Amino acid sequence: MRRVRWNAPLVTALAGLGLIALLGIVAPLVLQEEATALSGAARAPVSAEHWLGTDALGRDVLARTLVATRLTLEMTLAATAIAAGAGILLGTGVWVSGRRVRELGLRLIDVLVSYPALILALVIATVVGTGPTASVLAIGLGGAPAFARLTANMAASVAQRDFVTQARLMGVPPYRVLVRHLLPNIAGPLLVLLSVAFANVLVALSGLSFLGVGVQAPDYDWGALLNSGLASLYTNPAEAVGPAVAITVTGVLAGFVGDGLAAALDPRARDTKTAPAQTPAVSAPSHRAPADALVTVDGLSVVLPDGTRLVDEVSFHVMPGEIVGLVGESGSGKSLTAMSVARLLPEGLSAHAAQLTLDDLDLAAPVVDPARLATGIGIVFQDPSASFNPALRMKGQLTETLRVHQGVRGAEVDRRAVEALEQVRIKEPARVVRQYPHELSGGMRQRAMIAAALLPGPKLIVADEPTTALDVTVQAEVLDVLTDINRRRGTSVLLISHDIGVVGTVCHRVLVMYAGRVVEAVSAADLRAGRVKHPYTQALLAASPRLQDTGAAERAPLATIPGRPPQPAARPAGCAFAARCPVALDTVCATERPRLIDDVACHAVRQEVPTA
Amino acid sequence: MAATSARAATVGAGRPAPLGPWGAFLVRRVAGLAAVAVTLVVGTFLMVQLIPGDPARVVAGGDATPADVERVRHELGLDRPLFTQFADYAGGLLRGDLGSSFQTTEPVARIIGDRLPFTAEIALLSVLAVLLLAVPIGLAVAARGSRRADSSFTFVTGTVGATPEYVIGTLLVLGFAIKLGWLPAAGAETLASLVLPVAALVLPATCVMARIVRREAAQVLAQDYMRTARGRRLSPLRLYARHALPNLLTATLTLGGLILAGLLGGTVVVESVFAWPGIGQRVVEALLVRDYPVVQGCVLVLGLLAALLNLLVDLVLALLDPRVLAGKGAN
Amino acid sequence: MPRSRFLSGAVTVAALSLAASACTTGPAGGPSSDGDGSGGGTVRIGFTSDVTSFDPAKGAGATDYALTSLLYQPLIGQDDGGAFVPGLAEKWTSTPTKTTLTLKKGLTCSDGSPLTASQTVASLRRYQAESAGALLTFGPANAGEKTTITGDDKTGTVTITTSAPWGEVLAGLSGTAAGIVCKAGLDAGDALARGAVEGAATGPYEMAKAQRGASYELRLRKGYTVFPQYAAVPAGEPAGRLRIQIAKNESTLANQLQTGALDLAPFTGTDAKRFGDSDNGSDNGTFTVKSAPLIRHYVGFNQRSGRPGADPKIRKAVAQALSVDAFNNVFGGTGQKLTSYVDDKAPCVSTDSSLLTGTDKAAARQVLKGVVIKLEGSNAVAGGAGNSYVAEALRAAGADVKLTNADNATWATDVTANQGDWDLTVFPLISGALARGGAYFLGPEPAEGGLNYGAVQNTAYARHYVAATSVTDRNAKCAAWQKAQEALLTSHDVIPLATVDVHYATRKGISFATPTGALSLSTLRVTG
Repeated sequence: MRRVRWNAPLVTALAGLGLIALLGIVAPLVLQEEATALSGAARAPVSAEHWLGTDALGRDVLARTLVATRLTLEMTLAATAIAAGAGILLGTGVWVSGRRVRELGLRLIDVLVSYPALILALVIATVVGTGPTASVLAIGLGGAPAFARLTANMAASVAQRDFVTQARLMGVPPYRVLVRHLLPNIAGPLLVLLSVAFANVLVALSGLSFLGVGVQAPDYDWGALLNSGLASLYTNPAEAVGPAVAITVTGVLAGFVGDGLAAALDPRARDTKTAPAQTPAVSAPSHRAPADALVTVDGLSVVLPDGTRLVDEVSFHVMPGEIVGLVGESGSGKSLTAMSVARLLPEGLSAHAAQLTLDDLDLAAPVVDPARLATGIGIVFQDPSASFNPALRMKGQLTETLRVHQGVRGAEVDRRAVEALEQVRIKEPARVVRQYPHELSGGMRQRAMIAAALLPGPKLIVADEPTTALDVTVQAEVLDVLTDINRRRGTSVLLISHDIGVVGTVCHRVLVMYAGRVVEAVSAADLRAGRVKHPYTQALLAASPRLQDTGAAERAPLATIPGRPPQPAARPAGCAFAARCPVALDTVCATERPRLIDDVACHAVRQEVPTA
Repeated sequence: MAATSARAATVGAGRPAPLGPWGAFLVRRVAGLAAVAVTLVVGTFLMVQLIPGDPARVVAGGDATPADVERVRHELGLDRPLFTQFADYAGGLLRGDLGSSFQTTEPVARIIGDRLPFTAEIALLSVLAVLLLAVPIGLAVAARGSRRADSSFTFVTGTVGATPEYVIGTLLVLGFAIKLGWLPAAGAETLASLVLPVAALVLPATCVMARIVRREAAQVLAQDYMRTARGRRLSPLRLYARHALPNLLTATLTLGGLILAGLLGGTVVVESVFAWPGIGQRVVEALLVRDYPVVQGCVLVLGLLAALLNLLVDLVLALLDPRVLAGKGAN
Repeated sequence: MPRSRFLSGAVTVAALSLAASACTTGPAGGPSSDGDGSGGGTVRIGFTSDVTSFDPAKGAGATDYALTSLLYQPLIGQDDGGAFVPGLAEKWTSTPTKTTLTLKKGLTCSDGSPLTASQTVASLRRYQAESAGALLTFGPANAGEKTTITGDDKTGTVTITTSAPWGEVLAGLSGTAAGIVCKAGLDAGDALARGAVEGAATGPYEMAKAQRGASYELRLRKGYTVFPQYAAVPAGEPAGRLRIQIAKNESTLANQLQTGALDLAPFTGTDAKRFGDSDNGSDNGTFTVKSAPLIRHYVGFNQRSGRPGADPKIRKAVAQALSVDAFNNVFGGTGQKLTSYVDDKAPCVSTDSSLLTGTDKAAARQVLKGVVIKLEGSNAVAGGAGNSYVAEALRAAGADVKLTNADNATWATDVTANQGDWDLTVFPLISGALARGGAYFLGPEPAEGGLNYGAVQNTAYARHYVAATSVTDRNAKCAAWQKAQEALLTSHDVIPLATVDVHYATRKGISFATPTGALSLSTLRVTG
């Protein structure tokens, strides 16, 4: 189970429930007399003596509501325990059993779950009779199938993981698999489910009382009190208020505990500290891009809402027909840089730049014509298996931009889709367009992704780690397709990769990024020849197997770079690489940010190599 | 919560069949339905056997002499071997004969025929309304992602979702029928009479459902394929309706099946509040006077109905999400 | 057999109409209206239970009585004060062994065929065989062959002779269960119970539309003139159509009445207060509320040896521990305090409060302290609130009370069939007649096929009961009844509590009579 991160709603709700539980313990001890005493004033309205009036026998409604807390909570807990116990046993049991038992068990759960729980409860109440025990059994067993179904869902994801499969292959008995491997791994979501079930059981129990088959006098729970209160709602509304509020508040609190737990256990829960967005001062245009550059990026920063710069004043350009590589470790800001160009930054991040243009299209403007964006920039994402919509056929996804933004209709759509798949060397394209993504292989999907990016005829393709998720053999094919497109159609490509080997072979020019900054711009030829200046680029090259080993017989062990890049919020005032740099200068590197001059941003390089 | 996977997983438990994906799928589902039917028939038969006490005594009345009880027992065929009784019961079912009410001597089949349409009417309308309301609301809240909208959504849905249907129903009557006089307070006379019962069912269910949708939508919206779709610069409507919705529905309908079943149960309570002459109210009535044939018949038919609805959900899922049909996990 | 069927019927009656609303033994019929049968508009009436049987002989609940009384008219009616009024019969004579009734001229069934004396005899014979209540109509000693029913089509007379003297024949014939069914209905077999049979009606209305569990629509028969001639029938036209709607929940009925979806609805709970004060005849401008006793509550004892109820001192102490006012308040304080086991609308009922034992908690405490009492009651009326009160009051008097609030069927089995372990019960009596309600305190025990669930051994009471039911002279009858009740009350075999009333809230412009304290829908008239 993951560590619980306490949050305010969770703590509040737990405290509230604790208070109610305390009431359940204390109230019957203190108020029992008052709750059963006949005051003589039947159905009295609200008064100082009876805050919620009295019932038909002249008993104090408030006292009865408070005393009923115990029975209500006991019944709700017991029924929840039955539902959970039976449900968890069934739901996880099927996953530690053999295949046949499992299929049968899952089918049985399906059958049971499709039966309305309240009707099932009514049947059980008929068999067992009425009263607290019967109600608990009825609602508990009635709720078990739903619990089993949801538990089976959770268990399914865990049961198919390696460590469980392995345990079973090693002959660990089912019970141990269940207790040691399955349950601990779904304990978190189960807790959430439990609190939700608690709220549902509470309402269901009161429903039984409403129908007259729940708790019978002289016993009383909130449902029974509410039922008799509702009967006199129009003449003495106060009588219904107490139990109604009690049921709703307890249910809401239990629900909030569920929400709070879910949030506390969710690893993706974002820290929602939202400081006012600070617009970073955008420096004056400084990068001198050629006038005919396709993409011009000048002083681009990508910032978090709290002002932290994930990308820090990056400038570069892409010429028409040029393949530019952006290389760096993960977290270096290369993808964010590319996504800023594509205007696809994740929510919460904002891009600011002195200049950010594609041809004459201002990509930094508040609003950009969606049609021009969609047709001007094609995007190839990293994971082709996740980047296609699993519910839609290939054709629709390939040609959506054509249809939505370029008004292509009818048979033309089909023709273009088939043609595009042919261009990326997919066999039987006519069949593939009718298929769903899950029917294609990874390599085919990525080529189809490139085809989709190409279809509107973009000037620029942004390819974000297009080969990372693919097998090595398939990687080469996909890169081939990209370079082929570039050659034949003159489409510019902005290729993002953490693999300096890949960018070295495919690109014309390479930008090396480190900790949100560009540290070096180098031609592919120089890169392949090892003619790089920045100590970080040199270290990257040293850590990369392919270029080092080309043709060389002596295989030096791969160098690793000691240390880690700084966190964006803790980026030093000076060179971000200084702390890991073997040649850092004591004087300036730590204090002064090196500027990108002559395609390299390093104080030390310029000292050692005064003239290039 | 891994809400998405199990239905797909269970649906996909079989191996590829020569019938093609739809054929194999239908065979599996119809076989499942048959299993449900058999289970229900056996279950409802055993239910009456399980009830403590003697049905013959209940029918004969509390003051009946032992001879009276024996005569009733014989009339009801309760003195014959269990298997013969079951064969009679099952045989009767095949002929559409569900027995007759102890209390009113009406044939149970006719009782169900009279009552079921009313329940079906509000249940189906409610399911439709819940889906039409909960999905857009949940999706909108997830898409907006604003903290304020989120917390007020959580508060409202949490509160309404935790309020029993009959309380909501009573409040609706108080407001819209008594105070404002806009809608009928009860009965099944006009189309307007549908509004309040359906609203009483829909409000809490929508809140529960909308929360599920929001949670699932948050997951769907974070998927890579949604970024791909955003890369195509689609209008929000197209983005959410075409790309998010089908994926959302898989998970939503899986859990929605549970809510659907819950709705059928909820009609029992709501029918009682609104004097809606549905089957739920009848079954409770029969339970209270121990009119076993009616209980038995209603329980059987409601179960079959629920199973059919479930099958319908599966079919819709298979249409929406090709992976369900192919039997691969949706995760 | 007939004996046990009677009790079975009575128990079923209790079971079904406790949750419901109207009186059970009430005579049915309508006034001798000069209405020409064309009638006024539609009157919409709400009930909280569906019809369980359309067979008048098998009726077991408020809605059953309401519907069958409109479809099947009895020969005579019983009016306030015990006087009989003409129904289908225009005149009659009665002695303890022979009753002769003469039918009105020109009677027809709803299919237009004439209703003859021999058809009426067939209907009465069926009533004798099928109805649980027939036992007390013709007398326990006159079962089967011992009662002969003959008719003469020429003179239109029906003659009933009993071998043993019995003085309740006319009272029995005035009951809803004795409503006359035409040949079509008698030939229909079980179908008579399942729905209105075409052409079977003898009453003012015939079924136009039936939707079980939801609503029934009745149409006034053209040219119908033989309404029962009660004294208090309101002026006005009978409704052309009666629409009876079912809603389980009294609040729902009240909502419908308030929003104009209903014109008349009965309430046993506090919802009646929404339509004006529930005292008889009061109104709030739009509605009139009329009350009638529904349940007569009394405390009954298990007097078998070893039970606390076998001791007269304990029975008296129980009476001293209870406050009738407090009990009445449990049901909203609108009930009538009882001076016998039935209410004061019943003919010959004792109204002498000196026969009752007043509340004296101190005295009660001296006797009841530490006495273990198993109280079992039915939860059908207000969830058993009355039982809770009695239990609390006895506890307050020092008794060790074990309260069982059973559902009605279980209560009937445990207490009235004496198959349970019980000492004391709060009996919800449906019947408003001395003979019927009093049958529980004499004769054999349930195990021997009798009604005497508490094994009461009160010979004085039994003697006077027999005397009262064997004469037809009103004065002699009432004198005997007075002595019978005195014997029962002074030995604390029964401790009268209070009635739970049904309050009929009616929209202005509609009125009806309640002869002997029971709703009679065939007296309903559209007045405004």
